[in-house]
This record gives sequence, C-alpha cells and structure tokens, in this order.
Amino acid sequence: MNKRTDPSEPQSGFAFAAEEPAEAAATAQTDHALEPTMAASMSDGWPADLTRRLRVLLHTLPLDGLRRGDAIRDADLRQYDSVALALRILDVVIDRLGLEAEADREVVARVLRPVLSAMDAAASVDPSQERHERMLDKLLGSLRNDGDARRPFREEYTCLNGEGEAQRHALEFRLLLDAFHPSGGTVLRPSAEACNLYLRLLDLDVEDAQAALEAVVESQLARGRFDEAVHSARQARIQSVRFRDKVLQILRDTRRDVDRVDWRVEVPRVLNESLTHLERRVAVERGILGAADERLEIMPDEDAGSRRAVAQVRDLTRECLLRHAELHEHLIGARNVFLDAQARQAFAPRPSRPLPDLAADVLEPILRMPIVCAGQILERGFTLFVGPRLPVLASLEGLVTWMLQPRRPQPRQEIEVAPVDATDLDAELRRYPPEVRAAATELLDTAKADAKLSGLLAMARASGASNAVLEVITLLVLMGFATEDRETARVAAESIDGVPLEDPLFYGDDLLITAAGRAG
Amino acid sequence: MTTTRDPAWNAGRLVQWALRPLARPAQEAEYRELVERYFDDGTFRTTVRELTDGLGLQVLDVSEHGVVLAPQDDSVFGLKPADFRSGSSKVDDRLLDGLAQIAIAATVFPRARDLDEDPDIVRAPVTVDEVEAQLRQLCERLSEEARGRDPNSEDERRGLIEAWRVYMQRLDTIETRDSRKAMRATRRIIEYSLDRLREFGCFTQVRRGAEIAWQPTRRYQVMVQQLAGTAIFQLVRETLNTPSAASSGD
Repeated sequence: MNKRTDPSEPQSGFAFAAEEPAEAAATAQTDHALEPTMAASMSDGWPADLTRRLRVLLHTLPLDGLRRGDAIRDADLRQYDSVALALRILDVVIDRLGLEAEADREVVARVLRPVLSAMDAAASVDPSQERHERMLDKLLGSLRNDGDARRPFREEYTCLNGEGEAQRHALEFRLLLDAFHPSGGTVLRPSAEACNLYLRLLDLDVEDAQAALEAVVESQLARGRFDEAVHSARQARIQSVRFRDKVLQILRDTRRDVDRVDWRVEVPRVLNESLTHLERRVAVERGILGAADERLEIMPDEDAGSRRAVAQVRDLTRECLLRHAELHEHLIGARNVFLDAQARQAFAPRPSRPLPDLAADVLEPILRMPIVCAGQILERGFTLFVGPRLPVLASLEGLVTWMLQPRRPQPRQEIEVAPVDATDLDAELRRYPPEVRAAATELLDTAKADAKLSGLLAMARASGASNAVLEVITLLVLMGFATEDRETARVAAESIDGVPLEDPLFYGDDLLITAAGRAG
Repeated sequence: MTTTRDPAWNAGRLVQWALRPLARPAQEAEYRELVERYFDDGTFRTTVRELTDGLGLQVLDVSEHGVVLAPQDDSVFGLKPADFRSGSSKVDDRLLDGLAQIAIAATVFPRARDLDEDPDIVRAPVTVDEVEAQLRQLCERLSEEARGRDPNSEDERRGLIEAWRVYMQRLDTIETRDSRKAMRATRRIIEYSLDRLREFGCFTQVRRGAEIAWQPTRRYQVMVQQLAGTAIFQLVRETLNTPSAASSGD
C-alpha cells in the first residue's frame, strides 16, 4: 500500500495527533451519509480529495480480510483464492441486478462451481460438492459480514480537519446483502458501494462511462475486433443496469418515505438529466444494433466465431435498449410516484424519533418495573409485535357440514408394501431391434461357464457379430453384475481384480461371467 | 374481475389478502392488481384506509411484497397475551410471553440504528439461545444489583416485585440442581413464541450450521421498524413518567 508522506510534516507528529481523538472511540463520527467537508485552504497538509481516496480504499479492506483468511482457513479449503471468488460473486450479482431473475445463492453456486473445480484441479484435489458449498457459505458470509450479525462493515480512519487537527471518523458500508424478493425468497444484491468498488473502484460518472463504452463497441465492431466488442457491450450493459438502479432507487425511496428524497432540487435534476441521457443512449444503441445487423448480413457463414460474437453484441445491445425503454417508462411516471407517495404518506404512521435501543431502552426498564406495570405495558404492546390475528366467527353451516360428513375410514395399521423392482431391466435393451437382441442372447448362451467378458466379445466379433450385438452382450452382462436378482439377469458377472477389459469398443474392468443366472 | 365491482368491495378484498400473512402479490393475480390499484388510484386508497381504520387496523406498508397491517389499540384483530397460548395461562406466563417478544425484537434489532434500516434488507437469523442469553444476562445483572433487597410477601402479593424476578424464579423453580434444565424452561417459552410468530408469517425456520435459527420475514421487520419498536418505547416512557409506577423495587 502506498502511503503519501509529506516531508515537511514529520510522520510521528501525525501519528500522535491521530491518537488522541481515537481514544474517544465512542464519539467517533459515523459518516455513512455525511461527507467530511474538507476546506480547500488546508490543501498543503491534507489535500481535499485525499479523504475521498482514503474512503474508497477503505472499501477494499473486507476483501483484504478475506485474503488474510485464506491462510488460516480449514486445510481442505486453502487452495481457493477467496478474493478472486468474491469478485466473481460480485460480478454475477451485479450482472443480474434488476433482471427478472436476480441472483440468489443457487445462481451464485452454479456460476462458482466451475471456478472452484478449476482451483481444485490446479491444486490436484478432487472437486467435492460439499466442500464447494462450504466455501460458498464462507464467502457469502464474509461479504455479508455474517460474523458481525450482518451489520455494515465499519472502518475507522483519520483525516485532518480545516484546522489541521487529526480527527477520527468511521465509515460504514455494506458490500453484499440479502434482500427480500416479492416472489417470497431472498436474493443477493450488491450495495451501491460494492457496485462502485467492482465497476473499477472509482466513482465514475455513470453516463460518461457508458457513452465511452458504447463508442468503444462501435469502433470495435467496425474494426472487426468482435471478442473485444462482446466484452465492451457487456460492460455497457452493466453500466445500464447501474444507471437504471439509480433511478429506481429514488422511486423506491420515494414510495417508502417522501422525506428521504429531495424532490425540490436534486431529483428533478437527476430525472431531467436521465431523460436527456436516455434519448442520446437509445440513438447510439440503435446505431450499434444497425451496425451489428449489417455486419451479420455481409459476414460469410464459415466465420462462425465472429458471427457468434457479433450476434452476442447485438443481443446485449438489444437488452440495453429494452432496459432503457423500461427506464423511460419509469421516468415518465416518476412525478406521479412522488405525488402519490406524498398523498399516501401524509397520514402514514411515522416512527417518532429518537429510535430506541430495544434492549436498553425498552427491555431493561420493563424488567425493572413492578410486574403490574410491566404487565400493563406488555398487554398493550404485545399485539404490535405479533401482528393482527383473525377473529374466528362460528359458522353454523360449516358446523353442520362437518358433523354430517361421513366417518373417515381408519387407516389400516399395517400396509403391505409390494416390493418394487426399481430397475426396469428391459428399458435399455428395447433400443435394439429384436433380431440383434436374439443374436446377442444366443452368443451369450453359447459362452462357456466362467468366461471372461473380453474373451466373449472377441469370440462374438470373430463370428461376425455387429457392434450393436456386442453392445447388447455387454449390457446383458452388466445387468448381471453384482445383482441380487438372479431371476431376471441372464448371467452373473463379477469383476476380476484390477484386470482391464481389452476390447476396442468398450472401456472398463474385465468381468468374469458365470452361469448362475441362466439356471433360472 | 376486480374493476367491475364497487371500490368498497375491492378494498375489502385487499384487506382480506392483507390478513393472509403468507399470500404474496407475486403469486396472486388479484392481490397484485389490488396493490397496483392502491398505488395508482387515490380514491381507492382512501377507501382502503377508511375501511381498515373502521376495522381497527392500520396500514403500515404497501409494496410489491404485499400489505402489512397492524391492529390499533383494542382492535378485534389485536392478539392479547392471554390469547397467545391455547388453554388458560397464568399471569406470570403472560408476562414471560411478553418479555420474550421484546427480547426477540431486541435480538433481531440490537441497535437503535437498525430500526432505521431499509426493511428490504434481510436481517440475520436469530437462535433461541441468543434470545435467551439476551434476556437472562439482563436479569442476572439486575439480580446482582438488587442483592440483599429481597421483596417481602406483601410486595409479592400486590404485584410489586420486579419483572426480572419472575424470569429468575422460572429459572430457579424448575430445577435448582441443574441450571441447564432450568434454562430449558425459559428456552421453551422463547421457542414457543418464535414458533407462533412463524405461524403469523413473521419468521421462517432456517438451518444455521447444525442448529435451527429463525429468520425474520419482511413483514416482521416492517412491523417492528415502522411501529412496534417506537410504540413500545413510547409506552415505557409514559409509564416511567407516571410517578406512582416508576418504581424499581425500592
């Protein structure tokens, strides 16, 4: 890590200045919303944007923690590079953001499995699904900060204020979070910080970044660099997702609490900018789409790789276009969302401030109270924690129906379960025509007792049997392998320790065929 | 179908859906349609509000996740501690059930700031042991503070002993020689509470490693964050400000 040092300011003096406020940890400011304002005048001691960069850097510390954990993790998980895996997780989660099917644990597991297997292979370890699941849980847990009850990560840092005094601050942020999905389950969502962290660790201006990416795609298409074009189109789509998310977040916040969002100045500005941006983007995307279609038309069919790449660019761009059309709809309706939310929330219950610490401000005082008082509070408060219950009304009709319904038959105490042969031995054989099956059976029956499968196959081949016949013979023998069903299988077969099958058509262990089954 | 009927009928339907804690707009076309109508149609919104208000209910949240309602004071929909368990329960049991509810909420939302978070963010699941430890440690501390100030039988009869003593008594009276067994009794109370909350669509059971944990649902998070947390705090403050009630056993 590079540390910026100013030779005019001794390092020890800075460290000393930082220590004093740090002791009053309780008073450390938490500035998840608050940017410490840096006076431009103190730029020689502490340049204004240094704090911003410092804060950006702090966001990477949880990943650093993950990496440190690599060395002390269970021995069988040490081959995994957790930072690489964590970034892959962020990639898939951000990629799915705002899509109909957002990323959940299942999706992430599916994406990560090949990566984990590749890491296993590199360390000459056999892949194991159980171990992969365990590693995935550890990674998700670390990114969600499960170790600290999923609270935001909290990183303290020191910066100098306008007077040149060192001040302790705390930065709180999340990287990955579980969010409720309307369909009932939970999905993984990246925090805004994680998106910025992932999308190049910089607070890039979303619009400019996207314009740049689209220009890149167009030029790459024109120059025939299709693989790069696919990559750029994918990046452009991620930017689109980010952008769409920004606007939807405003609308969501508004629906939830009008006061959280500045609808006087900030939001109208963002919305206007977004509309202008959208119009520009849609034009550019149409351009790319046209160019891609043109390319596909003139491209020879033999050039399959390039065709696929261009088609991918076209699909990605089309998706961007759809997203933008959807966003356009949201933007047009945004004003109404605000007005509706305002009307709806004007009389909505509002938590009175300050918010209580439930253990210290509620539970403890109640425990200290005489039970008559505590009982009264709990009597009134109880219902709020459990939600409404349904009062039950008696229904005479229902009662009569219930009483008149026929007596339910008593289930028999013991039910005989007929043994079911789970394997239908014939199913596989039916693929072969009857004459092939007949030929195979005949050959099998002529085999001497205690013959080897390799010998039997050689003999059959010598007598001019087709490959299909050989396949059926092998199948029939395999059916007799270690079977307990001596009646259905024609022969019994067992492996000969470590002897491989010598046959051009089949691969595996050689088998010893005995006549045991044929007796039945 | 829903457009052809009177708005009051539709409002009634929406309230019915809201009272089914496990129903979701994403899975029920009618529910979804009604929630959208609630957002888009101001008159319908007013009708729903009037209807719920008349029923003694309060609309806490309407979203694509569904409608979350809370009963008002003395509402027919309010579940009292006395109705919480089937069969009759003693006054001490009701007190403990109430304490368990607060302890569960305090474990799910350990800091004041947690109540201000986005209810869409899934909070960490809790276990019976965590809730029990929260409650027991508090009671043990209060017991330590009150050492040597045992209440007389008169206080006990008049209900003037502190609430924590009831919890500690429950620990003691079950089995004095084996503290684990004693804890089992209080754990059972908490487990029962969580299980009932699950029936009300407030929690789901999940596995956390080898143990069973309880995952709060969005409905529960909305209920506590939007109303229950601050409302109970208000009740406590009111009681503490009433001179006769604010005694701490001395």
